[in-house]
Amino acid sequence: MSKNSNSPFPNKSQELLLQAALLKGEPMKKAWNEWKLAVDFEKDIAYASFRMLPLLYNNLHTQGVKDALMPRLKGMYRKSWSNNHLLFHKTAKVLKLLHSNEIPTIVMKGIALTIEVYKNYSVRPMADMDILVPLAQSGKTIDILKNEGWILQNEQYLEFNLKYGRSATFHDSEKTELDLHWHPIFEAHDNISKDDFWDSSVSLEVAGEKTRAFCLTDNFFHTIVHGLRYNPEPPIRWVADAFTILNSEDCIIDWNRLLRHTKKFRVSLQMKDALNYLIENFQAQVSRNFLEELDKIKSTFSDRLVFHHAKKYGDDNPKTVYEKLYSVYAAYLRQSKHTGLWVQHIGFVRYMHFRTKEKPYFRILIYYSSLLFKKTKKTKIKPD
Amino acid sequence: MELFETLKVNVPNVVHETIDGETILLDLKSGNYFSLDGAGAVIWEFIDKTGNWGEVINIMTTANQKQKNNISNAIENFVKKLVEEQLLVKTDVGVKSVETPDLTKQLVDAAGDFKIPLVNKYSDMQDLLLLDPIHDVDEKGWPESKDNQPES
Repeated sequence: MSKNSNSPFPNKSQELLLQAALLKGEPMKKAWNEWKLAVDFEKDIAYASFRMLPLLYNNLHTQGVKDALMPRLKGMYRKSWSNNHLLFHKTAKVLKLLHSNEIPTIVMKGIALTIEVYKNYSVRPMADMDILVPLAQSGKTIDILKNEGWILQNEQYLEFNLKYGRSATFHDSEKTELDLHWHPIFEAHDNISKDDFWDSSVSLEVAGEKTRAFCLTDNFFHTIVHGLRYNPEPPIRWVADAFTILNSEDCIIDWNRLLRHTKKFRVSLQMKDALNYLIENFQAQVSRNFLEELDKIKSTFSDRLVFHHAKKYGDDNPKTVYEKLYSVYAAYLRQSKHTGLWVQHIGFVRYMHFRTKEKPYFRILIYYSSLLFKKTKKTKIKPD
Repeated sequence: MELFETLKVNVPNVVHETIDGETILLDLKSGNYFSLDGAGAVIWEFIDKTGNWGEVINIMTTANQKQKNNISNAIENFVKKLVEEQLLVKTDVGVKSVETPDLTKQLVDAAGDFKIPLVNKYSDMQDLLLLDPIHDVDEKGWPESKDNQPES
């Protein structure tokens, strides 16, 4: 089963590509041949699929596939290898800088998965580095990075982000992107205690610099939660990451830990949807007991709303006033504790107050009313 | 240029990987990208494992006595180029005693049908990374652009 394009799930051709890039033997060959028929390699490769091509090359090459496209696929593999090594080298410098200032770090996402899971520098192209630091040291870290020449993006939102967000983005003079995280996930980070994710982290070396990464179970959790959001460019890479984690030779998922995280960070709906997809399309081996426990979790209003928003709008730019307001509301609920409806909505007023830079409440009301008014006026004007 | 008895890969400045008979190398300090194929890739692997580039000449010239001088000079030039580019550097650690039966066989095979090993160098990484690896490259794939050829 493949889902339609308005979802975080791959469409039919993306699914074929993922199967060709991940499966072995006949299922791989079948998917590879069908994918070639389904897409025009010269015209149809969108960014989400493009990023899967080094992994595809590696899977085809290791299984002895010969094809006229192989040299160009190998070229993508070489390019990804070069790009990633340059990024890792730069990441090591940032880590060294932070460590010299006694700031502990965890590398997240692509860098961690490359070393810990894929064990191959080419197969997972990436465009940025993701570094997690303790919440209490986020302000100090930002100052250190700025002093080193990293330019903070959207600085006007920093205060708001430090209170309600999870990360800030920096660029250097070569346009390399650094995502500095103080919370590993956005979901229910009101529920995070300072040791969550750090307690089971494992040591790791990035281009010679020692740091830490999530344990495999936490990486699996993070991959699902981060990936299962709609994006105009479908983030299909979560499927490859999750599949590869589950199939790593040295991977033993701690299902109890995964269940604790799923409950604590209110993502049972995301987890259920993702695992069903992986089981149905990639024959993922998932603990039956875990699935039964997952089914027992009762979702709250906030869980359902956040999940609905993630699947339908996710990281897309809101196009209408309704979408904008819905996105603001969902973003608030997403980072909240998801429980206690009244308490949450009092919190929402505070959130909006802070978001609008502490303008008086009546001005917030006027601002959002004016948005609705503008929209109404616009829709009344008909084109010639 | 003086060639030392034993050489090693210039880590951590140089990273390398061999894929499908081709060795790719990246000098992280200079940003230069290199590619070695055919006998060059096998010679690189042998030196990486043992440090003993002299033994490469022994194996290959023994396997192909007819082209002894040609092979010996070509390998020496090839290794000199790798040292010149600081991909290989001197090491005081002696030759590593590592069993390399597969690599030795590949060196023997390469000597039989000897082709001069080349160091292909691509020096503008920023430009290379901007190349579209589907449309801007020739039939060999990135980094071979339709317009440019590597410096050898």
